[in-house]
Order: sequence, then C-alpha cells, then structure tokens
Amino acid sequence: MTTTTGPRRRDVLRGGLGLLTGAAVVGPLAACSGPQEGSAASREVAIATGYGISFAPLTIIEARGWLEEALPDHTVSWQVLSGGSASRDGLLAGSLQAGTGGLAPFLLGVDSGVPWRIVSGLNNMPLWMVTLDDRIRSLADLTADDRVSSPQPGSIQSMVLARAAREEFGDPDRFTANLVAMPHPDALQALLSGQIAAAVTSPPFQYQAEEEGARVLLDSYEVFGGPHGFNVVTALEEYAEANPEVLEALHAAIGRARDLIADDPAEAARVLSEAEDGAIIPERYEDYLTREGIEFTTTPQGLADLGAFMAEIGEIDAAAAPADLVFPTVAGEPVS
Amino acid sequence: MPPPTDAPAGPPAAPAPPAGRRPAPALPRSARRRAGWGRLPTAVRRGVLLAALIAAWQGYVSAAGVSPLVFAGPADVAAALVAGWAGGDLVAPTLTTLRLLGLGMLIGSVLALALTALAVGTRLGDDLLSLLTAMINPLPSVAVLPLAMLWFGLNETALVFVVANAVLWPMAVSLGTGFRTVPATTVAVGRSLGLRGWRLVRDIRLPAALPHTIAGVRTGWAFGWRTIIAAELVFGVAGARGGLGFYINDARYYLDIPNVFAGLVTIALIGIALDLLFTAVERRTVVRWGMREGAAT
Repeated sequence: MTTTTGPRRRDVLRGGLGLLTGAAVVGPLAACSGPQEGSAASREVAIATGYGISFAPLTIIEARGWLEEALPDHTVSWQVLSGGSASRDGLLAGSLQAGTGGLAPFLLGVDSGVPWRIVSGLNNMPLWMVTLDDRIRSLADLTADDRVSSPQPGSIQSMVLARAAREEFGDPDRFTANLVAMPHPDALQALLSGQIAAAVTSPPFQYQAEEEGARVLLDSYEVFGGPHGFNVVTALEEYAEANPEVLEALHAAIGRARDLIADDPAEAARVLSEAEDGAIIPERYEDYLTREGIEFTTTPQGLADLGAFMAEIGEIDAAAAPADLVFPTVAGEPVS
Repeated sequence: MPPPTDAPAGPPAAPAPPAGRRPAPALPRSARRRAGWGRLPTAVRRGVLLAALIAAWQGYVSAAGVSPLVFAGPADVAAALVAGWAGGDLVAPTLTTLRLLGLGMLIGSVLALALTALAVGTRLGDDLLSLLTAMINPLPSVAVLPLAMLWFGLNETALVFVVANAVLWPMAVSLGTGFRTVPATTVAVGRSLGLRGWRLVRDIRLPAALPHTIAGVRTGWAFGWRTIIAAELVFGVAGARGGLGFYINDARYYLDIPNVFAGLVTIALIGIALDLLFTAVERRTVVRWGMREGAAT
C-alpha cells in the first residue's frame, strides 16, 4: 500500500497484460485511493515537470532543494512528462502527487470528471506556430498533406490553432486532421529536418526555431487577444485534503522561484543551464526568460476565456467558474 | 460414481476436470471427461467460458466500485463499440489500419518471394538471405520506425515500410524452409513425369512447400498486425485518417476509457477473424491433402 509500488502497477497496466491483470491491478489501486492514502502516501511527493522554460520555476525548486527544505519528512521526486494527459494518468494511477500541464488538458480533465484542481499557476506565455517551409506564408497555405505538431490532441496549442482556424475560416476543426502529437523537443527536431510543415510549440523551442530561420504563423497572444496562462500545477482533491501542507509548500516554492527569476534572471538562467548540464548556455536562457510576454506567476489566468472557447467548439460540455477550479492555495489571487 | 480405477493417473478428479488439452486415447480418464464438460461442443465450451469471463468482468466493475476514469465495464465497452461501429467512428480507423496492413503485407510478401526465389536458385542468394534474416529478424520490427519517420516523414509510407519490413523476414524464412524441405522423392517423381523448369516449380515445388507458405503468411500477418498497431500508437497519421492505434491513443488523451477498450476489442476481434480465416484455408488445403495434421481451432 505504499506509493513505491505505484509506478510498477502503472507499468503493468501500460503493458496491457490483459483484462484480468488489469482488473487485478486496478482493484487494489482503486481500493487504496481512500483516505488512508493520505497518511501512507504522504511521505512521497512525486511531481511532474515538462520540457521548456515554462517549467523554469520547478527546475529551480528542484535544483535548489526548496521542497525538501520545506517538507523535511517527505521524499521529493521529479518526473519529466510530455503533455497534461500524461500527468493526469500519473495522478489517477497514484504514481504522481502533483501534475503539470497546459490549461486545455486540465479543463478537458475537469470536464470528463477528473477530481483535480489547480495548486498554482506557473506562467503566462505566448505560444507560436512556426514553419520553415517557404511555401507556407499563412494558415491558408496549409494543405491536407502538411503535418502540424502539437504536444497532444486537446492541448492548449491545439486550441490556439483551432481558435485561429475559426477566426479565419469559420471552422475550428479545419486543421484537426493535420495534427500530430509530439513532445516539444521532438517537434523542433522534426521541424528542422522537414518531417513536419509547422509546429505549434512553446518557449524556448519557438525561439530556437526562429533562430534557425522559422517564420511565425501564429502568436497565441494575438489569437486570444492578450496574455494568457499556459501551465498549471495540479493535484487530486483527495490528496489535497489530506496533505494541505504539501500544496502550500509547493505553492510557496513556486512563488519563491518566480521572485528569483524576476529579481535575478541571470542566476535563474545559470540554474536552468546547469540542470541541463550546460546544453544551452546561461546567456541564452537569460534571453529566453526575459523575452516579451513571458511572465512567471503563481496565479492561473485565462481559465474562463479558454474554457468558454472550448465549450463553444464542443471540446468540453461546459466551462466551470475559475474559482471552482483552484485550491485554497491560490484562492486569494486574481484567478481568471 | 464411476468404478474405481487402478492407481489414478494425474491429479485427483475434480468435479470439473481440466478442459482444453486433448486426452491421450488410452487413458481411462477420457471416458469420464466425455460424460461432462468435455462432451460439449468446442463452441459451447468456449462460449460458456467467455460468458463467465465477461460476467466476472462486469461483477468486478460493479462490486469493486473502480473509478470509471481508469477502467470500463463490459456494458460501457459494448455501448462504445456499438456507437463506434454504427456512427462510423471506428469504421474509418479500422479500414485505414487494414489498408496499411494489406499494402505493407503485399510489398513484404512480394519481396519475400523474390528473395526466396533468389535463395533457392543460387548459392549466393542463399547465403545473403541467411545473413540478412539472421541480422534483421531478431529486431522488433517497430524499432525501425524512428528511421522510417526520418526517411519518409510522418506519413503512411513510413507505416507501410515498417509493416513490410515486419512481414518480409519471417515470411522469407518460412518460404525458404518450405522450398528447401521439399522431399527429394517428390521432385524425382516430377522429373520422371517429364516436368522441368517453371512447370516443376509450379506443379511440384510450390504445392509441396504450401504448408510452410501458409505458415509464413500466417506469421507474417501476425508480425505485421502487431507492428502496425504499435507504430500507429507512436504516431497515428493524424486526425480523420488515423488508424486503430491512433484511435486508442486519441481516446486516451480525452480520457474516454470505454473507447480505449472498444479499440482494443476491435483489434482482438480482427485478430481472431483473420486467424480463423487462415485456419479455414489450411483445412481446405494442406490438411485435406494430408500434408499437415489438422490444427485445433
């Protein structure tokens, strides 16, 4: 009944050993998601992060050991995942205590009944659609054979494209058949090697594509009419109820990281570069972190707006009020 | 009660003796088995087992109160299956997958035939085929997908390539074995009848190699089927034109568990259907001609 068996259970499920195994595996899993998980599982805090500078606050927290400091009797571990649905699966399977992802997968999860809420926002970021193909000057130039990457179906990147398609062509699904699901680093590689025509991606990958000569086809800040939230940190309600101190510590640490990035971007950039063993030099990270439109914040923003759009195009049934989507950790902030 | 036998062979008789394995004719137990479970026709025995499994599945879902976010019961899955097939949501992915599989298998089979012909005809070809199959056959065929994506891009060509590769090598091995193990007597008889060249191949070698050929197609299809689904899970060829693997992945993204199960059931059903087809072909050909013992359904 400890979480150490969590990942293994998940692996067995993933391996698809058949219905009976599935039943045998999900049984104990479902059975132990009761209140006792709070006490038994609270020693272990597994947190999802992702690719890109969106997760800079988490990278800094991990590198500085701030959570271990705030939660001395807990074991903290980090997992790099791609896309919000991977986090969702981890949370539901019990192998993650805090997930991360874009706003859209979070709202999709709420809509299908996942009992989760937002612990903290992470950032506001402009998301770009970039292309290296000379033929493609605007959305109208995309043909049925052009592949466009986004991290997953129903990602916030997919929503940016859907919204632009609706504005321009009156059909949000116009490019749905063009989409392929790819983690951001793979998408950048695929774009550079010409496997895909365009990528709807995120910082810093869009900046790296631009450095390689890519053109910007869409900017989400223009599509949505202003800055909007991008990533949030989520947890299951059950876990939050039993472990409010973990959520508070996580929220506080994200605030601390936000302040560090704002006050000393050079130091933040150095930490990010070191976390990747110097694959990208600190100066470049500092440039990315201070680009226009990039803002680190603990306040989730844009939930109502994105929710309304997703409900309009039928991606979700109904948009919930932002206040109902967050935990008390951010209830005092101007959530929108 | 049956009369006591001398030293009971095997485990003590349970109320329902283990079914499935064919009894050796001499064992006294076989008589007892015929009286109960074993006397029922295969279809009935399997139907009852299937119904029991589904009942256990439904019972588990109802009793355990497992979260519908991670597990679906048979009723939900059946509803999703019906909705998917009636609404066409499952039809298009299934056709896409079968089309890609068919194309990949066709290309793979033709290449396998060509390679085998070369191998049977020439020493060099034989060595080449042995070396190639020894090198490539142990590779799980989906492992070449990253290369295929680089070479062909994220499109159907990459998937067809991977399937053709998956089919080619096991099939070439089977075909090669088939041609090499044609009994010398049979060939000698053909020669005595005055057959040579292409007619010898067509009338003697090909039919004699048929059991291995069918086994080869069967293995090829099994490899191809697994490979196409795995490859589609990696990248589905997007959206409306995606196959079954993409369908499952897409349903997972949207946490639509009944549809994930519906996709899996569809894959299993197609697998069973094609397997039955091959069994039927074998029955009508090599089994009827006494070249191979009848395989259990």
